[in-house]
Amino acid sequence: MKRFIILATIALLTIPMLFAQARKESEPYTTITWWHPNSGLAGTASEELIETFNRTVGKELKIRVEGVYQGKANDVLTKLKPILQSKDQRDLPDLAQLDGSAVLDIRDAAQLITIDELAKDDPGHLSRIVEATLNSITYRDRILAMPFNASTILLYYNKDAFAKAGIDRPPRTLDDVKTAAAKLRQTDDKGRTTFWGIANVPTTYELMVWLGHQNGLTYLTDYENGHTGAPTKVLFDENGTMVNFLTRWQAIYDTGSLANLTSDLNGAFASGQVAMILASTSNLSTIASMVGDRFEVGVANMPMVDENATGGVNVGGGAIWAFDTGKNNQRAIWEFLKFATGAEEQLKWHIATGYFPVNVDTYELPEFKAHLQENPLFGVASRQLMDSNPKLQGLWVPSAYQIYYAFQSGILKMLEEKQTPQEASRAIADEINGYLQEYHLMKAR
Amino acid sequence: MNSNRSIRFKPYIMILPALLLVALFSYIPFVLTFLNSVHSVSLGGERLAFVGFSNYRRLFSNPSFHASLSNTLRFTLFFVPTNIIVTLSAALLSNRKGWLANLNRIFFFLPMAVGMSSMLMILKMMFNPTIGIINRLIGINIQWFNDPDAAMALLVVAGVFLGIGFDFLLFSAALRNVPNDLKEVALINGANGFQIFRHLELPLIAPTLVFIVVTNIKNAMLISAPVLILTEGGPFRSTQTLVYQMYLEGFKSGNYALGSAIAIVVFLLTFTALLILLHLERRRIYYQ
Repeated sequence: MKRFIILATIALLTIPMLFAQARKESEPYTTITWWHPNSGLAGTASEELIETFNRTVGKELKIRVEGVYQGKANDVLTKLKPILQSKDQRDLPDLAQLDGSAVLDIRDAAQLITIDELAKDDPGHLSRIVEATLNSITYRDRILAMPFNASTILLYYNKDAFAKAGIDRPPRTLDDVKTAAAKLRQTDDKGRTTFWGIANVPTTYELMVWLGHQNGLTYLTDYENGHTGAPTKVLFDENGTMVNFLTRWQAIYDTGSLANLTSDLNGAFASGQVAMILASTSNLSTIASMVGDRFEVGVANMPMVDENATGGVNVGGGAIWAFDTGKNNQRAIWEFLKFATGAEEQLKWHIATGYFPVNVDTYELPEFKAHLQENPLFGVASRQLMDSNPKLQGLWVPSAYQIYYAFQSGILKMLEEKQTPQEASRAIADEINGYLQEYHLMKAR
Repeated sequence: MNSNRSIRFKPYIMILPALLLVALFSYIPFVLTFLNSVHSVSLGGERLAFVGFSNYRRLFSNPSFHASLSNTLRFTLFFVPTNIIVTLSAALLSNRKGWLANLNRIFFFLPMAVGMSSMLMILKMMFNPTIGIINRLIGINIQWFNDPDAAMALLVVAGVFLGIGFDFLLFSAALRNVPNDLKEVALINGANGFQIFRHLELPLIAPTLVFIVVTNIKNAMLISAPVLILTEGGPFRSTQTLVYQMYLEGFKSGNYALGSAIAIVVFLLTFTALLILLHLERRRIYYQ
């Protein structure tokens, strides 16, 4: 079945190549393709990035970049995987922009070109990349991909609602969230909640931080969240971080001011149904434009689970992966990656999208400082990251989709079916351990 | 002798292309899927070792699979009757003479002309709780993508909307084949509209009805596209169906063994349901 699909895909893809051949020969340009998931504001920004490159550096060095929008980051991965498995090089894109969930599937691919290899003769540029972002994509001392759309998680809050409820600053810990949520809640005459303090059902994205930053630094699984090997079991049930978190989350739920929303949170926030949400820094521009002048948006650091939870946040978002397409495009790939993560381009990218700059020089640019002065919200994200433990890293696990739902359903079950935090932690751990073991079954002979 | 032999082989040669296609697209993949489901399979898709039914054992103890199973059965239970009532009523409504009936027919048939994915994307926008038109029209704030029951209802609506054109066409054709003189006789004898439907039209369209029920059950058990585009199995796996979980295991997680095991389970379930139905049909339905 699988081999057949691959063969059919190859057949479909090679037919147009017969016709493309004639055009290529007359072209002195090296063409590289970049599969990306950027749509909306980010889509426009990446188109501009490509256009600028092709007009300037690309023209000079006879390199042309073609961007191909391939759906969400997950879809890019779904489309990439069969080509990698087919061991065929010609259909591979030279570059693919993916998020953390791709690491396990791609890190061992023979066609992968790591950033160390690309930068071998030209290592200067890597020293200009923010260290935490490089760490976030390093596996066993190999930099797998080029950090590009880096983000962290942020607390977004409705400043007007906070002022009305008499709260003068955003919550620092989950206990503060509980107090604030209770004050923010509004009900109708039948006692139903009409305005919620906070909306969230924590899952992988939130828990990487809320479990990870406890006691300075805690790993969710063995092998340092999968960054030094394939994880075999979770640690959050043994070390008590999950129970500690769930106990506080239950307390927030008990105020009646926590909405268990999993989709369209930006909409619920912007339309004034909920006072606090957690979202990526990359949503900043989008949320700000959705809210318009209905109320004043505030952003703050991700609330700490408790006073000992000092680890901060991890770098999320994505990176650009390079592949050997058999056309010897390494030099062109490296030139484009350098350009895309250069100080100037990262500034434009940052302003357009809210992803924070991965180039340290961007932070020194006068335009960056001016932009920060006008839009102080943008500074919160980068400050939050600078204050974080650089060893706090995202979770690299197989079956990421199922694990995502295991967290989410497990937490909802605790809240709605009155489980104790201990029971919930145990059940979630058991389910996730099952998925981790599945992965080892797929490797062992 | 020679011509005799060619006559003997002729039918086989004529079915060969169809047979080849079916073998290539159905039978061989089916056998491979079964083989995968009783082996451990690597991330690259190679069968590693025979493991008997241990993939199935793990599957049956997996909470995610329990959710998929109950969601799929729930969806089938809601979808099949809803779809039949809606499409049959639509066919009855437009089964009369006049330009209005023709217009009706066009409207009911039109959804078939829209591509499935684009239609689902449009539905997704329409049902968006904040900016969608549906909540505004009915004036209640239903969280279509956050409330498990609403999300299931949304899937049923999407399923009906996707299927309406084709099933309507079949019912329409069947109703038109009911002889008019029989209806006139019934009318003269004082039968009302419902009686005509119950005792005359329904028995005569029964073969079509059975066909539609059978295909609807099959479609409902195999539903995946609306899940993939509208809800992605959420909230809390409440719309994760068997085929969607198969997609998650097989294509998202690269776990071909477990994905194949799910495929076999779906096949057996659907096959059993259809066998029972066809058996009933043979005993109860009379073809003209």
